[in-house]
Amino acid sequence: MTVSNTRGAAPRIADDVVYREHEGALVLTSLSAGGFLRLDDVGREIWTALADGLDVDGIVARLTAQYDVSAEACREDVEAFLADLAGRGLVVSGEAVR
Amino acid sequence: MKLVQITRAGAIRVGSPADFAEARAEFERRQCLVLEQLIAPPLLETIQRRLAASDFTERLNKGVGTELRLPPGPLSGALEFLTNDPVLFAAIEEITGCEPIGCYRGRVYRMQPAAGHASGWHNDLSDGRMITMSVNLSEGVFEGGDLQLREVGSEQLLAQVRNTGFGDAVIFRIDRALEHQVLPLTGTVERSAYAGWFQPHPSYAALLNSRLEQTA
Repeated sequence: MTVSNTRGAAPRIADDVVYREHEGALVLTSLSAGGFLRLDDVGREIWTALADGLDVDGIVARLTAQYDVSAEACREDVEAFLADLAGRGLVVSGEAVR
Repeated sequence: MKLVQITRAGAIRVGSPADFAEARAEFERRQCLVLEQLIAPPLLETIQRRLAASDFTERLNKGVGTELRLPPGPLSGALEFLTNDPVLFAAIEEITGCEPIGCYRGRVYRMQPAAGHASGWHNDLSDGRMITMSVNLSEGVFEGGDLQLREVGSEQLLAQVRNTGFGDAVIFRIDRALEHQVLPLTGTVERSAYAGWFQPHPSYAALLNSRLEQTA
């Protein structure tokens, strides 16, 4: 499932998803789908960027400024991660919200 | 009084140290307190939308009557996740002076006027319960349903609260020396609430760890 591209609608956190800190990690769940997902450090960075309203370009720019990774490899990983979240109903395509 | 608020991104402390000191004094005096807008309005709207689409089942609550209860599922699991937040626990401990909280165990119920839902005087003493919390999830302003709290053997009320503010929560102490009752609903508006108890055990954090799935 593709949820993002540089010209399409920006991905955003689904309306019925809630999340919070839990023992140093970020945990997500959905009011409609259930399940509890714990994000690793990079996943958390991407999630925070989504919550800040960034699109894929913005997320890639933020991550490449922080980590020693090429933009191309980073974009591939970000899109795969977002596709995983979209498959779980945690992220949808739409207008970025701040 | 706005002291702590549950948002979609977890609980945040919104009251000042002076607000918390005032809240603690009021709780000490009345054994009861209303936490205004405990559920942030945008999150409340999302919860209410999900509730409206949910099926409730009838359940006999001994001493209270039959209530409509939300069965276990994603929505109740998410509410449990949101209310078992260490930031909320710390706020409740600070306001009430209770022992360290391990979990909040609640249920979502819906009560309808004319269905005879009410309870006589009782306490909630069981399973180490320390503090009761009832969060108003109703979409309309219901009539009746007042909570009354008093010392055992006294005719004088310590508090009488009709918790109708949207997303507001009422908390009160559980103690052998205290008892409470809820008056029947009147009017035509039904009441929905997430109600339960803060307890020292079990640990919700440990329970959550057993349920977690890690991203790849």
